[in-house]
Amino acid sequence: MNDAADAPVPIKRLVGNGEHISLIAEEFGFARFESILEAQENASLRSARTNPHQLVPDDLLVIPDRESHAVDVPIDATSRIVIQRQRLFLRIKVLDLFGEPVASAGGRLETETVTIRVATDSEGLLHVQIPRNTKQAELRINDLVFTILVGSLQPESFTEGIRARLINLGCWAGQPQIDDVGTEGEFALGIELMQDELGLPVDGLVSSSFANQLLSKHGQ
Amino acid sequence: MADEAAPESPTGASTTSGGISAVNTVADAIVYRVSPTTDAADNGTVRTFLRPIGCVRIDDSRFDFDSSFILPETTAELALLSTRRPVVAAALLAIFGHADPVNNDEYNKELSTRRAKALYGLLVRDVELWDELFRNPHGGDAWNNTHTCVMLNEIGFPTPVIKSANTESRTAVRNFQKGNSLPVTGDMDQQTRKLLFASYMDAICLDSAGVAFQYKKQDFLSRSAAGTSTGVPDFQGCSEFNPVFVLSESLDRDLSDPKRKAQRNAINSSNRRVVVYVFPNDVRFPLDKWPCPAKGTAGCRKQFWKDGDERRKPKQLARQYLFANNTFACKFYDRLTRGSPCEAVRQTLTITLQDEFGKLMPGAPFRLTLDAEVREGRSNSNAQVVEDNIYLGPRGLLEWGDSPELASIDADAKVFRFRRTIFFDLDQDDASVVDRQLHNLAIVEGDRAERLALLRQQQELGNVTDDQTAEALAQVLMQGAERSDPTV
Repeated sequence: MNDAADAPVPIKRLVGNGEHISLIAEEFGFARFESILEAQENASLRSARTNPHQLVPDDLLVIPDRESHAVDVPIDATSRIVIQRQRLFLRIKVLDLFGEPVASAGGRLETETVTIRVATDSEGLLHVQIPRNTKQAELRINDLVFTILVGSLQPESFTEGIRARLINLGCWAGQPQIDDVGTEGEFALGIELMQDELGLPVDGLVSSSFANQLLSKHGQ
Repeated sequence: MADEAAPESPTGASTTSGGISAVNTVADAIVYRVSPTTDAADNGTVRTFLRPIGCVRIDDSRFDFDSSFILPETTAELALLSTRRPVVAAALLAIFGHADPVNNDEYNKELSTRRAKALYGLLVRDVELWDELFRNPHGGDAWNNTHTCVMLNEIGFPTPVIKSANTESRTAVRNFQKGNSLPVTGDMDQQTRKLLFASYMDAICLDSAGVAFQYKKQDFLSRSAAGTSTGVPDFQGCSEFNPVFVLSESLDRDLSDPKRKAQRNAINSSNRRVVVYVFPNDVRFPLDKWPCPAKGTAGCRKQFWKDGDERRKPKQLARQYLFANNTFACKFYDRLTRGSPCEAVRQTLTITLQDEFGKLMPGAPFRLTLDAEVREGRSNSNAQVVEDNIYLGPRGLLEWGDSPELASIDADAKVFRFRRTIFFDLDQDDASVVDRQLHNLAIVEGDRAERLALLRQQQELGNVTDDQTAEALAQVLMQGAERSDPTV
């Protein structure tokens, strides 16, 4: 047997629907998601995804070996070793039907594993820590209810990334396309509504300038 | 007697001869896609929505012409509504009336509001609202003895339907008064009117089992047990601002001739409609922010797209809302309803069936699945499927041809030899129309130049066997040549 045969086979992990990097880091026991993303084998993906929290289904991640850390502990005493795992947050501005911030309002966020009391600040911003493996949550603020898919937001360079941001901003843009029977008219509607809101010429078409302005309005 | 609703389609739609009930594409809860973050400077946005989950449309034919009086045949669409939104359900309702471009915006704002109000009054049994309509005529919308006669007939007091009261109609009124312990005068006094309205409402507002039903005022968007003083947002009129069909400039010019008024009215009938939208019950908003004005068009105009007036004007080609997406002036209504099958145009559809070799298929079985309904039958002797009175969206699923081999596998299942998504929005002024035409002709492999070359080859090989199809192919070739590389 030679050295090559002995070398561990790197684990390759395809990103599934609604999965985000922190969830995958949690799955493989990494305290920080950067430990995966910064692996040499993930260099091209790293440069393709400018926001590491916005992966796309079928993105391929190579999971590196976990580094071992030597810790000196006395043999005649109980020692406590604390691993500082990265904290994950949901930070979203909550707007009402007419685009006004839902400010200083209380409510709750229910994930697959926990229910958390939450409140928005004076700008309508909600900032709450969530479990790293959260994929879905229901947010109730005042009497408004939002079903949230955490980690499903694709980059703005993807059609579905544009559609999702339009919908998040209250501009209905159709259901995600799942076959050749799409909802182009509704997608165009979302673009037109946002173009109108941004003061741009209204033609229902996506340009890079539109995508940038959308990103700026939406955040993320 | 009202007609029966067609069977519900897989998309949850039903149609009658005077309306349609459908599920809107947003149907289930809207989901917001956000990314989590480890960075305190990185935040996204979520904004709540107002999108209907279903709709029921009542066509112009269910109202007396230029009138808000609801005819008895509306029972069929009211039954659809009771199924779409059962009285015990929690979903919220709102009614939008629409007029056609004949007459002016202000007149039509009032007429469309009156139609919406009449329907609301019927659904919640508010006879006072009907009496207001009766007492306050608006142009041609003047409830008169004709309507009294229609109502009396419907509740079992027969009389000829005539515009001015005569002995016979007065006798019917007397009989009605006698039967209801009212002072017997033969006059339509207010007490008689209100009881007649209530009896007529109960007679026509029936569910699919033929049982009278009514909603509570809090079943509407305002959630108020008393309704609102202005009617909005529970019911409102959109004037002529949101046509589902806009004529071409040339036809509009031709039909402006007063001698062709009847034809103009007929072609505009799809625009005259009342639509009831069904909203999820978790919708919340401050009522004073609702943008639709109860009266006047100035408030409507504030909600227009910047080019709103341009959108509703005739242009070179005729346009349908569900195909072109640019005929509604009101951005707010467009935002609510884009893609809704209840905003389709009722029309006649003709499709020629061919097999994989381009051979015509007369007498072939077919099934056409649309957002609005499913239709089945056989092509005629010219291999054509001709379907009248169909609410057409931009596309549908067509299955056609016998398939004995597949049928032998499962005798119960209806199986077809061919299955294809067919595009109907072929009269739009955009380059992709050629691709849609080629798709309908099953020419899908290769780039556009290759597909057009194949089409030309098929034409020259003589696979095309009827004049109409040859003409359609020639049209595709012409458009393709115009809109792609000139050397194609």
